[in-house]
Amino acid sequence: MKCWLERHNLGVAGSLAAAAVVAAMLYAWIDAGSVVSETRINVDSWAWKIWQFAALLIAVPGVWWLWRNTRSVKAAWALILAGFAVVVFVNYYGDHSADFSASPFGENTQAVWESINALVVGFAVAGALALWERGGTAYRVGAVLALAFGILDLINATFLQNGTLWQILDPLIILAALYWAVDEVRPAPASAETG
Amino acid sequence: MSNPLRPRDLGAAEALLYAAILFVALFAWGASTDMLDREGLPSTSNWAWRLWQVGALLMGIPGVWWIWRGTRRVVWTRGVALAVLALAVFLNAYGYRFFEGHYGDVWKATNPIFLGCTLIAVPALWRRGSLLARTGALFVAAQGIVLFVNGYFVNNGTIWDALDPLRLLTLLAWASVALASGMERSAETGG
Repeated sequence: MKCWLERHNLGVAGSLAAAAVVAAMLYAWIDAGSVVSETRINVDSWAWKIWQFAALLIAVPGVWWLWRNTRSVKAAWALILAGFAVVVFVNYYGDHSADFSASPFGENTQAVWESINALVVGFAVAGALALWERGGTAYRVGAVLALAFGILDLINATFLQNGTLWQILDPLIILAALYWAVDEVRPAPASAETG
Repeated sequence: MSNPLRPRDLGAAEALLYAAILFVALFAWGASTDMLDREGLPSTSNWAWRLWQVGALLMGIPGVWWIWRGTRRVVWTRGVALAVLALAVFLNAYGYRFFEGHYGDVWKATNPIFLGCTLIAVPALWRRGSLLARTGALFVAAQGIVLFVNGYFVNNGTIWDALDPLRLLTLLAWASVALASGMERSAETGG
């Protein structure tokens, strides 16, 4: 039996199911974080911070594994990114109350944010690796920027919780995910050999 | 590395995703206007508010043009995007609290897109040369000017009452033209 850590060529259904598994595992871990912080997002609690760093052990390898194994079904990866963008959009703009009472995710809004933040770090790492592999100065600058974006999200999520920074970062997360989705569905340029 | 701003032929999924990116960017920009709001100061008489909307116009008008240029091979995607935009306009104008909390932000996103479409439609209609097409071009141009003035300077409710159904019908007309010519093109190419 092939080890699940080895490289697989997932099909569309397999990719979407694997993405759902990673998302559910991460969400379950984050939700269990109420053990260490009943108030959810709590940058003053070291126990909560350590719990969030542990979530990265699911999110970063999970996203990287998904990206690596969806290279033959790029449309599935684009669909995963678009779905992620929709969740961030709904969680950010869907709520117009001060106490999350009108949020589409209700009392789970904070847990969804914590999951999103871990996934952003995962996407940033996978994006940086993908860009770096392409070679060339522009792509490598893009890789560094992607990694810097992930680090900034991690710092704001885990240490600062600065509202103004979220006002900038959250729309950028949505746009970055959609732009990566575009990049995945873009037809490859015709080579000289294939005409 | 190719210049991402260079107009080129987009695929269907690419075109629809770029349209979503443009809408999200405009919506997010519009939602950020809250940072400039001052109590008791109506938005359209606030120059900081107006200057912020210039940013949306600078994104929206070239963005629409870029997508329009890139969708020559997938004209039907223009129809889909315009139909979705018409639905957003309909729900925001007539849906009871459908976009509650973001009513103004939806308008701030749809107005620059509509103005961008107007700037494409007017010369395209004018170039057709017939009296009917040129009358249509003048009508669309007038509608765009009224929308621009009311959206960014006047904000008169009665004018919106007249403009909302008009722009809805205009968007649907553009969508049907795009879908029809998309079908013609795919019939020609055997697609």
